[in-house]
Amino acid sequence: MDKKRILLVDDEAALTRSLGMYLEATGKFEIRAVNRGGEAIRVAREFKPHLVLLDLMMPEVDGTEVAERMKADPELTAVPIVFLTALVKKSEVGADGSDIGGHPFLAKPVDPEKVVECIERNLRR
Amino acid sequence: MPTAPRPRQGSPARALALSLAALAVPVVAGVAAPETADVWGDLPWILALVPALLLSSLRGWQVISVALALGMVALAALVTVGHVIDRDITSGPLVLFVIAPYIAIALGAGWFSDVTRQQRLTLDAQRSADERIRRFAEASFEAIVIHDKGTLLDANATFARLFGYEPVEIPGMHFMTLATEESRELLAAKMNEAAAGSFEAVGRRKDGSTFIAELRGGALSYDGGLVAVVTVRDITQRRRAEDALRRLERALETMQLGVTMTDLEGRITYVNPADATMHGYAVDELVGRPASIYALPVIRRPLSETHLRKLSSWQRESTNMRKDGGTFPVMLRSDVIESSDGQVVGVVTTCEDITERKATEEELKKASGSLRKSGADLLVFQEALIEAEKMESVGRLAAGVAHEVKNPLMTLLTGVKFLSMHLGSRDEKISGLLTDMADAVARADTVIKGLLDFAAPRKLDLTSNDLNAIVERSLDMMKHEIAKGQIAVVSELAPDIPPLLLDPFKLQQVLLNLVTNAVHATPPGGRITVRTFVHARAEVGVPADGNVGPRRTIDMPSVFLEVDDTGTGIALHAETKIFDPFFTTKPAGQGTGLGLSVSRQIVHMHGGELDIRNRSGGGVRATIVFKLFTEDRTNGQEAHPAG
Repeated sequence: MDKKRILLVDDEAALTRSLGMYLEATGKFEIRAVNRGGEAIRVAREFKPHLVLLDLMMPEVDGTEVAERMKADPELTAVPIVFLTALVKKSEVGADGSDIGGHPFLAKPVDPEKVVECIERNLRR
Repeated sequence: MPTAPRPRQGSPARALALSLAALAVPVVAGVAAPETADVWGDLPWILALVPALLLSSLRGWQVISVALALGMVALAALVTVGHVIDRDITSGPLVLFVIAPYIAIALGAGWFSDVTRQQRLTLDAQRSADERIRRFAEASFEAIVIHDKGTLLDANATFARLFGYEPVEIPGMHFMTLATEESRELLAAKMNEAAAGSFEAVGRRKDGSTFIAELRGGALSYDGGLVAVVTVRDITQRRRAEDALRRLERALETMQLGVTMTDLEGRITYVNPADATMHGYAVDELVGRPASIYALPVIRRPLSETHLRKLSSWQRESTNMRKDGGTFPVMLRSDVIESSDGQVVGVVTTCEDITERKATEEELKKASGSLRKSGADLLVFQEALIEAEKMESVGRLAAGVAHEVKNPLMTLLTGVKFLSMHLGSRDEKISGLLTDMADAVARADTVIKGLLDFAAPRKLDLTSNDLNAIVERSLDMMKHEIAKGQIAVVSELAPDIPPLLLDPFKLQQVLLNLVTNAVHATPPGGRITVRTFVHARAEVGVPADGNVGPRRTIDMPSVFLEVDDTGTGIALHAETKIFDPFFTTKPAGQGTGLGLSVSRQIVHMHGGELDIRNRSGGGVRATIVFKLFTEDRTNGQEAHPAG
């Protein structure tokens, strides 16, 4: 089976390292990690991921801006995005798993198992 | 005073001697010439005259005695002549002719001396009267002067002293010398009138100083004639005192402050127009009346003398009564009046109508009361604002903390899971450790989430709700827990709770929190009671069974929600801390300790109160109080609809 390419965008290097390690250990994915929002578009163009895991809170260029840039880019506009964020409060997580800005999201810290499920769910879309 | 010439009085001894001598003559003649003088025949004549002689001599009527004596001598001469001419001429008309003149003289003299005697008596009387007047005049403290058309004839020492002269200088002076220029005209006029009655003029002393004099004039008989007598008084002091008094009177009469003077029996001796008018009386209606006329019937007590003596500036507010029965508030101040020798003679009281002042005080009190209330309200708002700001900064802080913590947590979790994937199956101990690590991360996450939840600015989604319905829903959600704990639930929900503007979701959160706490605290077999009711007034902090605590009164109808349990209650040291964030008496891992602080926040946002304290009979009572506004409800967040 083809390994899906997943781009991790998060300013926390330890996180991208550990998550990347986990995801690759599943055997299902090929992982690229970017720790600066500004580099995300360039790398995405190069890597052509099947899905982008995007942190919201990043210095300089944050997640929403990256998402917008991607949408504006004809090459990247169709790539599914899953937000990965620390900012969500308990009360904001509704039972229906609502979206932020049209994209699904996962609240940190999230069991990496659930990350895998979410990726697979959104890849099929 | 000079004396009038006095008639000389006769000496009885002299008269008697004369009489005896006169008597001796005819006797001697008769003896000497018995032939010519029939002394013994004439003896009756002689003897008849003897008494007259004796009487007149005794009375000192010298003239009579002399006349009779002369008559005797004449008779003796006759006898002698008869002897000489050898004829008895002591009888017959010749004798009468010779003696008669002497008898006539004697009688006339007697009458005359009688007249003189009368005159002398009158003169004596006059003399003694004059003497008395003189003595009185000298003794008098009045200055008295006698004048004739302005020329001073005589004055007493007091008069002289008054004008600074010696008494001897006065007679001969003119009245005008003793008066100032401006008084002379008046004096002249008065002098001409010789009027009785008094008038004033300005006197001038020898040294030139002047004084105000009061003159009183009259007429006096003097030395057989009529003269003007004048008394003069120095009334300078009196005038000064009168002027001062008049000024004082004037002040009292015009001032607006009421002044009343009372005697020791409490009767009004003086009242000024201000006081009388203030009480609706005329001045003369009050003088003589008891001072208690001003007081309300219930406090009509006269001041006792001992009380009076203790009085020294007794000031008090009181209520006085007017003539028409109306009352008004007054400020009274009393002082004793003492005579110059320290005796208390009366009381003076000032009376001020303080109706206006009282009204102003009332206004001020009201204004300050409402100010205070506004101030209190402001404080509440301020506190709420501070609270909100705090919450906002806490929220920001929490967000920051959360973000900074969540990322590492994610790394940890991912790492643990990865390790579990690779190492877990090998070793039980390792897999156990990894499980613990995963749990730890999860717990930390829960805390962070709880913190964010606590710090989150809340917005109430207010809708009209049935409180009882929310209560029942919450109990229903907990029924499993309750059953598990073998706890009985009693609900006493009043049917007359009106609909309240609440956020049902958040309130449910609160109720679940409270019931959960109750369930955890209550041992099996215990009971949880949930009550709702309306009360006319709320005293928060004082539960129905009277536990003591800080009280706040909410002065309007309120809805109460009580959750009682029969558990162990709150430990004494913990009572004040239960609302502190993260404070929990539960063992570690069970609950974040944030439930109550969040619950209280939610209740406060509804404008209500959340109170949790031990019950006297054991267990805990949690009370939520919502104020009931009867005004129309405004939209959502603006109003404090349920509080």
